[in-house]
Amino acid sequence: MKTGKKSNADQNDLIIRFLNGEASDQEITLLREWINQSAENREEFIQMKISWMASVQMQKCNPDDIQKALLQLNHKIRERGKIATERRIHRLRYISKIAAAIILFISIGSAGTYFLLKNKITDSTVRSDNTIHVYAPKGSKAITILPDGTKVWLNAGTDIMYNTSLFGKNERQVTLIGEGFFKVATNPDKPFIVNAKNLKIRALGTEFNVKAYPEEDNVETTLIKGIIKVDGKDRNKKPFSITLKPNQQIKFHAGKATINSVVLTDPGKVGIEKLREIKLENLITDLAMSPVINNLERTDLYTSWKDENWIFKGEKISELAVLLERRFNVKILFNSEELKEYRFTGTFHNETLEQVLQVLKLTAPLQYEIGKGTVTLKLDSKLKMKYNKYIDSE
Amino acid sequence: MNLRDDDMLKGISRGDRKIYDLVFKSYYSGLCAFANDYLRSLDAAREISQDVFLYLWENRSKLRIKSSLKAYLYRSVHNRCLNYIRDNLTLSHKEIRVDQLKKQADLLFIEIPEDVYDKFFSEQAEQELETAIELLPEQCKIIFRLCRYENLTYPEIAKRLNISPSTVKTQMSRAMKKLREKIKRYL
Repeated sequence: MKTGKKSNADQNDLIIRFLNGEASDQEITLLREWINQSAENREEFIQMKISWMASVQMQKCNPDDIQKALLQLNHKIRERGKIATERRIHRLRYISKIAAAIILFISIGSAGTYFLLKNKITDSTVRSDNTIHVYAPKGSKAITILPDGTKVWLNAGTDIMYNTSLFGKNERQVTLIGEGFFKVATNPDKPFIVNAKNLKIRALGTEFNVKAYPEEDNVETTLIKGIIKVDGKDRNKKPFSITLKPNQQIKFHAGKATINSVVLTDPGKVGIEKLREIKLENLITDLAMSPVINNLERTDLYTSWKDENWIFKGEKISELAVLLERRFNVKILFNSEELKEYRFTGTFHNETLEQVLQVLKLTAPLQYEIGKGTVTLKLDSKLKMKYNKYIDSE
Repeated sequence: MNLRDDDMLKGISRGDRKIYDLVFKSYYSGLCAFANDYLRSLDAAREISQDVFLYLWENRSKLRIKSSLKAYLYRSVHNRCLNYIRDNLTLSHKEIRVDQLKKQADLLFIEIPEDVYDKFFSEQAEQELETAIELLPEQCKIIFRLCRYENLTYPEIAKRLNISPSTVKTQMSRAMKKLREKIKRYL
């Protein structure tokens, strides 16, 4: 009786060790024999197995691991969607469900993300080009997660491209046209590189903002956290390499890149290969100036756009107009040069175009007229006189 | 947020990403551990668990799931593990120790009643089992958790807690006995 009980305990122990993957080959053979000996034994084994299986539900991994897995899964969903569509057509715009897969964490009201998928043979090296575009059209913003977990906020009218087969191989390269805020997933072995106009911005794990709209001459890089290195060539084609510290900003006059505006109007119409060629041309013809480094008191002036906040400090109305054009997808016209020089300081949140214009009206002597896709700003002479009086009396 | 199982199912079938992500976050860990019990490889376990979710998303509109979503997920992972091992038995696969698995596949995949998933893979069963573990004596509880949730072997646990391997053995048997008593009542 006693020995029977003991062997019973041993048997239980063996089952548990088997379930935990610790039983030796010999023990597994013994266990199999025991299970096949009687229906009772078999039942006992099954009950142990069920207990073991069911207890797995309480397993809780590290939330970071789960988050990482979710990102991987999102990437898989995206890749699979891509293969499915490539089979059917060359180019497809997704605004709907698959795009939603990559817009995580924050839902931005009017955010739209377009993927423009291409699979074409490019230039002389003949290789298939797996370039993925993430595009936030004018009038909307978007957030995307790159395959490595790096999070990118895209401001209105911004295009980000990367090559799926090269991204993450030795380094992580993306090309930016427009404005993006990058929260780079740390990976010291694979530097993260943003190509913006003719600058290369290298980062490890850090947070920074790059503004490189084709219609603006400057490339503006603002560092929030970590370290980045900016490489480029100046006017005399002399290479430079500048390391930025947090709260520093580098402005670089890169010249107008005319082709990029074409890309922005309809990225689908310009083949990737063409884009490359012309970009190369830009590199050669650009009259690049020397970079300027600014130390900033506050960086939120440059990054607030991603949080639905807009902070302005002494911004010219002409500059503000460019931002409004992108954000609301309108064309802003001035009928007075004088008006362009007025400066504005303030913060916007989720105001509509009309609300913003109302606020501007309070700070500058202007009248506005909203047309179909356009806004005309006019100098209001009466209001100007009134304002001047007010300013004089102060 | 606490959602009922069929709300989750409905949410996913209409393409609600928030609900889908939530389901993923609640069940992924358990499913990985479950697959790891079969495959003895965390990488393969993660891959299979993610594939089950991928399948769920891609077929969200046509899936007809009769059981609970949770039971469905566990059953799917179980089936995929089985297929995975079958497919890999003839190959020499680095990830999983195929030879080893071959020797025990029949025992790992021993037939268990169909209704087990519905019975034991539910919020209620999870809570009951959790309470049962919670009520174990302190040392027993710690040992069980190290073994089950941190995938440590007996010698590793003994070393970690500076106790003898035979203590680990006794305490594990004790913990499993309690769980089995709980389970038995439902069978």
